[in-house]
Amino acid sequence: MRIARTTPWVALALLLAVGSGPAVAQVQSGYYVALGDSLTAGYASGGLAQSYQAHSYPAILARQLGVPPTIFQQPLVSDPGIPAVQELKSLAVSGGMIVPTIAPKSGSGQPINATYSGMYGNLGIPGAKTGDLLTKTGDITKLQRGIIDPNTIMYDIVLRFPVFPGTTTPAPAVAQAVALPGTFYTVWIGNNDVLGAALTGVAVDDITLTRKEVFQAQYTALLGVLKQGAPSARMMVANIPDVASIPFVTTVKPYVFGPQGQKVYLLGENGPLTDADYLTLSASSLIAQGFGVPGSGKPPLPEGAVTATGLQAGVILRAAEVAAIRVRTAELNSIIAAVAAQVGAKVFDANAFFAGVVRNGYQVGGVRLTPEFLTGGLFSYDGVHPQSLGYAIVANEMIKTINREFGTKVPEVDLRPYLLGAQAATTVQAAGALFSLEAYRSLLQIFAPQADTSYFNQPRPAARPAPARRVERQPLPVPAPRP
Amino acid sequence: MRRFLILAGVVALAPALAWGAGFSLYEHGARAVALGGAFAATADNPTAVYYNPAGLAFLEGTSVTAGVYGISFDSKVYGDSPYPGRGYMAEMDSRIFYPSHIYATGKLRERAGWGLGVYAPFGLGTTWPDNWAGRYVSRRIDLEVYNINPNFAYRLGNNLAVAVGANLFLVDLDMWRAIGAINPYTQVMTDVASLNIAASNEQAWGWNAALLWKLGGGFSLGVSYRSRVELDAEGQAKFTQIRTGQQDFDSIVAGMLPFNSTPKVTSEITFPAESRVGLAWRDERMGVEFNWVRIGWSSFDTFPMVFPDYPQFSQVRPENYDDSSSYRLGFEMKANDKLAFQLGALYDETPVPVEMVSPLLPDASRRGVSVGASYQLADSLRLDVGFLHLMFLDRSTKGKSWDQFNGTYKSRAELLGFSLSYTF
Repeated sequence: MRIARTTPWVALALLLAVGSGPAVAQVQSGYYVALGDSLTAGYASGGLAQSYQAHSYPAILARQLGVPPTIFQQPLVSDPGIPAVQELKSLAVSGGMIVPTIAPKSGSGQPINATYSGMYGNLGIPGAKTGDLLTKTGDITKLQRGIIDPNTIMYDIVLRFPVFPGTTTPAPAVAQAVALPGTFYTVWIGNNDVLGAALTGVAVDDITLTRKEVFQAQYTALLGVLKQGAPSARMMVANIPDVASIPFVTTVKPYVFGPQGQKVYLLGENGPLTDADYLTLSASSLIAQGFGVPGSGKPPLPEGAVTATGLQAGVILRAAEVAAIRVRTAELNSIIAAVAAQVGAKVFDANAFFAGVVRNGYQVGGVRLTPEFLTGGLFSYDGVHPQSLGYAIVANEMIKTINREFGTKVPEVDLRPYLLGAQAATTVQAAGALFSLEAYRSLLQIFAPQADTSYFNQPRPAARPAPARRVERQPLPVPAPRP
Repeated sequence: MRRFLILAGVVALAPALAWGAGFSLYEHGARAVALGGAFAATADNPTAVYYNPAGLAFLEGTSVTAGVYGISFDSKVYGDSPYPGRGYMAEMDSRIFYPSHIYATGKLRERAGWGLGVYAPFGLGTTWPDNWAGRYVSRRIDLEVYNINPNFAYRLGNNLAVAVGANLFLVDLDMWRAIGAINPYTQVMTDVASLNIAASNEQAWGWNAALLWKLGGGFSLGVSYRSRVELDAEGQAKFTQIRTGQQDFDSIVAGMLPFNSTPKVTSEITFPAESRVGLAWRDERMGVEFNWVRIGWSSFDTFPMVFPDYPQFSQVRPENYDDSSSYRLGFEMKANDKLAFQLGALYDETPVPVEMVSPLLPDASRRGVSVGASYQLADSLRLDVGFLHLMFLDRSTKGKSWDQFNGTYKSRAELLGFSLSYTF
């Protein structure tokens, strides 16, 4: 196939016409480029799929800003996506408890906009950490040759060519972002510099948490390259929300209910859990098999660890680990604020916004949306990424910041289709766990590719077999509908 | 007495609607309406029971007045982003309302008079289409308030009268709205139930006092005060399930909402105090009057809906109304002994803060112009006819809606009514 051998002259001519006009013109009628990770890509329900990408916040922003679709394009992947997005298979109800089954759809999507000859306006790369935007490249021809490399597939899809066509110049995300100088940039990166800790239940510097010195250097370099490559562009950066408040972390409780309805605290490899500890969604399928349940004869729940063989994922976030994630997030956010100020970028405070949603929910049309898993309306089936309604709300909050900081009057996107839109839904009854191991592995492949979960399948036999006890399955706290 | 019973039937049938700003109603007599509502310093017919009961001390004989208004009301909302969004428009269902009034007055002795009125000092009725975008805020609300208002008036000398009265409010409230839940299969909001909250024949007491002073030279001064009325209401909720087609989801919803019972709901509504000051001048042929009406709406600070047995459904709307004024000017001219004409104009401020402008009560300040006529049909029978056109100012929520349902409401109303008075 042919890839971007020619400069998109039309776009360039438009840019020259715009020149370095006032902020309003730059933001609203120029060339918009979004840099970031999965949140920018419109990744949801564990996959990158067109039906969600169409409502990525950069796609919504571009539409609301009035950027023509000929100029702003995305690395679309046909449904059901890469990896295939998850769906809700069933909601089992037993004894007043609700056990949903979530698993990836069957089949796989493929890139459908790979031959676009311009630069993508959406350079969000699922799984990317800050440093990755500076260095990592992709090669779409690998997919075309049938090579599916989970470590690079998202770069292959989004960045497409390792060097700029016809040159030997490497083409990482930041280079592609300034190849055609944009007039308006959004940068939302850093989430994966802490997210790995939440997904794997292991908070260790350099493995799942990026050190602040490293982040400082990378973030400074990133914004520096953008500033140098597009000196007159306007820029808005977003900071890192609290990844310990996402449904992936907050949904599963550290206890199950015993026969008399009493709380039975689950066992981790390092001892019993307490109310201050969190279990990730990935624990649910293990608990359903009896793991960590006192007296079940099954092994305790894996804590996760960094061993000689590398990172072993766990399903437990101990209070100290959550605290470490939060401290690091705060440190990185103060770096983001400081570096943004240095280059004159405005900041969308995603952390404060999400904290507000966690505290108060989000009111729309007389309805209060919440971060609750499945029923809150904001998050997708992976418990990590927003669903389309959540992305649309994020886009609107960004628009508020844009209007305040740049003096624009960009209209917010209408939420009615996102809130009430009728999508076809089918109920497929399927046996399975609450959040399938398959779904978890699919997530880890993109967001913590080095993490090992193989031992999830080969549990060590319990040291002391204990008499089996009847234990109810873990109920999901599904909140009541809002009256 | 037979005539009286028929008229009482009209009263019992009549729902009411918000015609004064907030959910007050000022239309309790055709002649007063035709005068723009400026009648406190005139108060020379049985509708004085509402407009200024001190006027009862100056009335002769025993009289009965009854009347009804037909009100047509249109309101549309034009949506703002983000919800329900630009380009969205919804129109309130057309309804015609028939608030009515009935008064009886008489003499106790030379200086003392009595009056009894039944009228609707507050009311509200809004109905929106079933599947409209604001259905989680409200589909329909009907608030009907009747005041049974006996008064005693006493004349101190020839020119000054005072009155006191008791007010028994009978309140019916009926509200419908949709209950939505995020359908976990589709990840969009889906109607899972409709909710009706109803309370009927709830009662509360208030008092009123008034003064009418004939200043001389054709001038008169009227002052009337009505206390706030605090209602503790108790009603019932009825949840009706709407099936989504996903059986497992429906059965979860069925487990979370009390579809098989009618839970108790309690509320407290404070109906505001009203102060009215009027100055009039009139001679044999014509009269002119100005009224300033101040409603203490700031007492309407919250609208709670408490489910004692299901606290998760309880909600308190912070209403935070502001005190508001209306300004009313009326002019009357007698064509001959039997016929008189009235003209009026008014401006009525909305008490509703921008955040609380909602489909429940899309209130706005309004201007009104009125016209009317009175005709003496027989020695003891008099007919008053009044027409009022209300022009509501466009009311935008300016993106601040408490429900996050933003838009601009455009409303208008026409009122046409009559009062028939018989003097024994």
